[in-house]
Amino acid sequence: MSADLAKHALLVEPKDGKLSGIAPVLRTFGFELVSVADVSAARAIVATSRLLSLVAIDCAIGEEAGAALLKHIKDEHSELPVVWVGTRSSPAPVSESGHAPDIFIQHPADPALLREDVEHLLWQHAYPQPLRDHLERCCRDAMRRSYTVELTLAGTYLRANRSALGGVTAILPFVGRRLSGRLLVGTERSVLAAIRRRALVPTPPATDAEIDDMAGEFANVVVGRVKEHFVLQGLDFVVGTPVVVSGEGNTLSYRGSRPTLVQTFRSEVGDVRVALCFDVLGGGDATLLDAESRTVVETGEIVFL
Amino acid sequence: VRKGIVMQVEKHVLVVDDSSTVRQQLEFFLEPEGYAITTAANAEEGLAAAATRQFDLCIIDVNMPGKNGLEMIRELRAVEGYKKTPMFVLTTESTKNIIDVGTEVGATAWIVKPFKQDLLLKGIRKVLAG
Repeated sequence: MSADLAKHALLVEPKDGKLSGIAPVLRTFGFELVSVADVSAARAIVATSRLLSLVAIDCAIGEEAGAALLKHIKDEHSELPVVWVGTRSSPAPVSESGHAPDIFIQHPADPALLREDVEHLLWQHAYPQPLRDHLERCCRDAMRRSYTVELTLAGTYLRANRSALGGVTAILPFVGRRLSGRLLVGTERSVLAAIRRRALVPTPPATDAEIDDMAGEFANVVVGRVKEHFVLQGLDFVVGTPVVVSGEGNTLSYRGSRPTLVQTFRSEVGDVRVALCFDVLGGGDATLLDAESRTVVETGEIVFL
Repeated sequence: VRKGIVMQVEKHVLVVDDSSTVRQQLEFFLEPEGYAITTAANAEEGLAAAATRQFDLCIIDVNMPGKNGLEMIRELRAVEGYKKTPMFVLTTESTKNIIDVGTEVGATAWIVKPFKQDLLLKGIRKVLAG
């Protein structure tokens, strides 16, 4: 399975603007860059592109025009992070609605600091710390309770969308009116076979279908728990059916407008990788769950109805 | 049953889940506890199994290809013999909106995966006592 659908960053700058320094950094995060020289073209792209994940504005397009664009983005597309590149004499604007850019970069910027700032921005926008912590807990709880295997978080990082996750990869899509995405679980067949032997069925040896099912079911349980995080914020989505791809060196590529969060786990039977990627985080409050609906049942508890 | 001897009557449990992992987990966990387990991979298979024998308890997933578990419970509740049979929902769904649907169709209890074996067993013993 393969596709080549990168997320986009919009650079708003006049010809020979200051954003050439930020471009290589964004490319390292897997962004495809789209440049426009005026605010109306920028607004049109912001309104129509589902893959747009970041906007960078060069103050040289004009302070007033830049501030108007910033206000428009923050009012209408609050999920989009905005980078403002200015000079010492032209600090970042604050729009009439009180919105400021997510980061202000003073030109010329040190490439290492620039990379650090952009990475921090992407983390904060796409995967705030509580969500990262929650995903880790979900994975560890699911593996411990379902298979009595302890996972230890070995690393968390962002990566571009294309991925090759291992011998067995389960991909589970979820779709909501304001939030869509998918969760991937990747590991080696031998790891799943060892977990199964140890925790579930010692004999006979598992079939390929049973191994694939384990990967899919693990993804299902993790997504179910990840959903709780969003339901408590009023966002709901429907979880699809897991699709499992197996075979040595399989490559899965997928669409996603945000960077992919990857957590790698170690266990005594081998490594497991979990990736979370979003497509859409739409604006507007019309589809938010009401306060009463923002409740969830604890996993494992029995609630008599 | 002879006078003075109490015979343990084996309770029959129907497990309906599209995941073979979950079906096997429940089978290997509940059979040593003395329950006879029948498994089905979807609601249609589950309904067919329920038509062939009377089960004492049904444990049913929600999201399955084809008919979902809540629709299955609604249909079973209309069948004579299943109007009062305990029906546990075992699912990854944990939000109030869908649990309300479970209440409306006649589910007995709601358990969110991953389940805790001791609590599930306690719940099963509670509804099957006597």
